[in-house]
Amino acid sequence: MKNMFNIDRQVEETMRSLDGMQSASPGPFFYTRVMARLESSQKSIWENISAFIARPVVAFAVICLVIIMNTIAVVQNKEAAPFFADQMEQVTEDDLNLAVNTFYDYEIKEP
Amino acid sequence: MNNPPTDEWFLIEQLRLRDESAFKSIVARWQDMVFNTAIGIVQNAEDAEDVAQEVFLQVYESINTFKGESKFSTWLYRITITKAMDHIRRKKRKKRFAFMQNLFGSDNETLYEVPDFNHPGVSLDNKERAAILFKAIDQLPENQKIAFTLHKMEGLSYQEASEVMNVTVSAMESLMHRAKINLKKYLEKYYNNSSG
Repeated sequence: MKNMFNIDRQVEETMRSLDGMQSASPGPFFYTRVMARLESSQKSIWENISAFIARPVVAFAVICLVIIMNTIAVVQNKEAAPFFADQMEQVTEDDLNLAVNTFYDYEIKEP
Repeated sequence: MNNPPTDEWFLIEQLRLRDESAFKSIVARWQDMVFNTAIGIVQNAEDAEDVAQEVFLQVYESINTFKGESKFSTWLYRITITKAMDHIRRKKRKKRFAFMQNLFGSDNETLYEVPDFNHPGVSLDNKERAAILFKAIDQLPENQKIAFTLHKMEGLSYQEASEVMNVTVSAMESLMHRAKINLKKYLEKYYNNSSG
């Protein structure tokens, strides 16, 4: 019983040990050290550019832009497709004819 | 909208223009507040200095994101807490990694016990008890630890601390209540073990 009372007293005293504590301060010349760190963290322009490009938002935006431009290109090509198909037809008929024509073919008159 | 006092606002505006003297004034004015909060959370003077420096670098770089919707000190407290908690997580990760290395014998360095933390603001006759209490505080869940640090060590009222933590005043009271219960449990166990 006495031991329990003693422990409770210890706990209460420990809980009160921070009462009236003073605020802690950093060492002298703190600002100088902050400035030194700030200067060392200032990156060159190329480092800044590469860091900007590597940002997930920027990378995602660039990927979206490429996809959109590709989609536009595909849609525009589809619209122009009939003309392209006609051309292909002509090409296959006129130029890709594998039959070998000799002058006999032209001379033969059908009855 | 909670507009800061005129001189505070002037410093903020000047810092936005990258005025070095304004930055110097801001550091001089809030360095103790930032350092004291950081040391309460990380419980190491060197780490707290490191965190405090990171906080002011962040302030310098992202002052344009401060819209004046809260007090400047509230904004500073939030940055400090985030940086301090990040620091603790990084340190824990390193410790786990070192432990694993030690376990698999790839590193011959011995793992040292963390020494007791002595807060420089605690009076000499309370140092020993405060070191035990700080050990107990370190065992608290994150939000209870932050609530306890802001209220007990920084001396913020429940209202002010709740604004920093972005919770209601009653939630803040509940956090403090649970923190005190957990601390008492830890201390009872500690004194039971040391007396038995």
